[in-house]
Amino acid sequence: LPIYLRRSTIGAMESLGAFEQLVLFCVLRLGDEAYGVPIRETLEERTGKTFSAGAIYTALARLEERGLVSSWVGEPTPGRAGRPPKYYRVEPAGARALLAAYETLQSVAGDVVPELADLAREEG
Amino acid sequence: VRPGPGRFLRRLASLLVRGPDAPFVLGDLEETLSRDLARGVWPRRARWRYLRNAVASASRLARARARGSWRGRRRGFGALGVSWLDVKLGLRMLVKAPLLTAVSIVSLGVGIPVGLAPGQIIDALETTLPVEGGDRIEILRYRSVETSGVVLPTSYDLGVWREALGSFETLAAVRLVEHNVDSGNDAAAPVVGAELTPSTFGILEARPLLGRMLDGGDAVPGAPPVVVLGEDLWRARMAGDSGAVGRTVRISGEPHTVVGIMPSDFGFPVRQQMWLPLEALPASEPGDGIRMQVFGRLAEGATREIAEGELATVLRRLGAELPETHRLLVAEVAPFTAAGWMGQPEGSLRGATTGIWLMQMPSLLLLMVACVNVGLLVFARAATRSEELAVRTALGASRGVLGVAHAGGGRARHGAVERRRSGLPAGATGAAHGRAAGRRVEQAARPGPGTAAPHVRTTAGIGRTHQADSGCSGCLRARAQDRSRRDPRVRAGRGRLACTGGGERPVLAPDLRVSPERGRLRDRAGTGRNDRVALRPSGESLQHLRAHEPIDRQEGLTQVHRTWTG
Repeated sequence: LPIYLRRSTIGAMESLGAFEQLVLFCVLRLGDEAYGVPIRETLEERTGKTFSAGAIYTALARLEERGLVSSWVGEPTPGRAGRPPKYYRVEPAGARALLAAYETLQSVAGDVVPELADLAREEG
Repeated sequence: VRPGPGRFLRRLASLLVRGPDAPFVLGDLEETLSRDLARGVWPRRARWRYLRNAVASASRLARARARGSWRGRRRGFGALGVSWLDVKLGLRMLVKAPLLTAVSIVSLGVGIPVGLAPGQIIDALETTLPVEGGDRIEILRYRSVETSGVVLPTSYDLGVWREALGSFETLAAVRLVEHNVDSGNDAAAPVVGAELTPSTFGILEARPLLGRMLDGGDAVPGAPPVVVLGEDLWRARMAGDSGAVGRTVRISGEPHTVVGIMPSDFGFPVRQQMWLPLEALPASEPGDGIRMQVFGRLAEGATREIAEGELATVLRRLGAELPETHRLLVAEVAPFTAAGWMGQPEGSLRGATTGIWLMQMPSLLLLMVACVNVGLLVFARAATRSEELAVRTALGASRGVLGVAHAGGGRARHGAVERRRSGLPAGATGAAHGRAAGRRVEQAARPGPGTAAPHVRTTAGIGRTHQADSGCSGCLRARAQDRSRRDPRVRAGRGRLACTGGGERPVLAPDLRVSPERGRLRDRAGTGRNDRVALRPSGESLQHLRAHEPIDRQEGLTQVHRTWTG
């Protein structure tokens, strides 16, 4: 394949939505305890928004389909009515994609962040 | 305080949340509720959050599944949850059990059209004209109080209505006629056409293919005789000659100038291909003049009820003035549909739907028997796979998967595929039959441009003395049957078969003899008690018919019509 096509394909594969980036950061932060409930609670705590369990799992399913995270099923617990949790882990490809997204944001934002903060305060 | 969400909420959540991640989502819901309660959240509020989370999760998962299905559909069979391998194996199973496949396809292929037929027929019969504002074109007529039969208005009535009715923008009239049409390059052959008032074309907002349509000047007494032909007739008789407009054709011996060609989908009022101006002059006396179908487009703001009331008022006045002819009549305004053309009151067919379904019950029962038999065959074949199902159970197949496998009789998914594959051709066959039947009914039943005859033709031409070698299908059939001597009367040497013009069934020529009463034929064959054989006016030749002679020995006879009234 031509180089540009491969690059564009890889770029498309690694592009992440804002919500997917947040979920990936949460999974990374939680480490071995990353499953639905803690991920959702972390997201809600840090964003101040409410998310449904379905939203978390559909985002994780998309990431898993792209090979950015992997999952495994844990042991059933009484607090879950005997249902097992599904744990997630960020894969190297996911880490690269997240890092690239973060760097892109940083490079674009760069030194305009203080100005942005000033503007936001004025608006507020 | 109960620790869980309660049986009802838990059941509801498990019903709502579907998909491969459902167990984990449901587990998360339970755990979240437990954590909320442990944090001291009021139980009712915790359960409310549980329910809200469940509904939102179900919605999100359903949308994700739908997106996945859409992606699959683009890939081919992904939407059905099957792959090409499944399809291949399913087809292999179909080939493996050809009898079952054939029975399934035939059963459903016959059953679906049978089931669809009443609806198709009623829809076709009650569909309004396929023109702009076709639902505002109404038929005006009378109905006899004594017989409940339709009484068509005369030209006298049309004249009165045109002056008195304000509910219609325009009124028009049409009647079916049959003439021998001689375009000059072959023998005259009968064509069923229509005589209509030129306003008809305006009501139908029709456009000609070539030339012009009929206009008011054509219907004036003494105007040069003109005719408009249909595209099919133009192609058949004039070989699609682009210079046909202006040419002369002989219609029942009288020369007419072709002034226009209408597109083939203009078959008004039924399936006609020839239109002549109708000189519907008001007759001086009621009952005088020709009877015809009168119709019109409702004026702006007028409704059928208003028009019918207005027509009833006119009829009351006529009934007072002319009790002999108009007293025992009621006015009726009906939509211009096939049912309306046939004289059915509005909505009578839809009202009779229950009756049609009841009449159809025997065939539906037959279909049900066929379906049960197919089901038993499938079941019997699946029963031979008990060992396979046992292995599946041991390997952890769910009840749903086993059910599909059992019903399908093959591998779990392939069983489903097989059912789909056998159902699809059967369904396709059935749908195709249903569609074809619907189109046929529509063509045969719906009136108006682009449609076919709504009525059962009761007249068939028996053209005895037309050009015997003109390639007429009736002549060919008659000669073939005569040669093969399939008719017992021919075998007995009592005569020979005569052509029935228009490709109708041949008759034994000596059986039709001219009776002493002029203009009548006697059918010695006795083809039915209700049969009536009569001569249509065909010029002076009738005067030369020799009484008691068979029709094949008459000179100058051009057209004989047999009417089946039964």
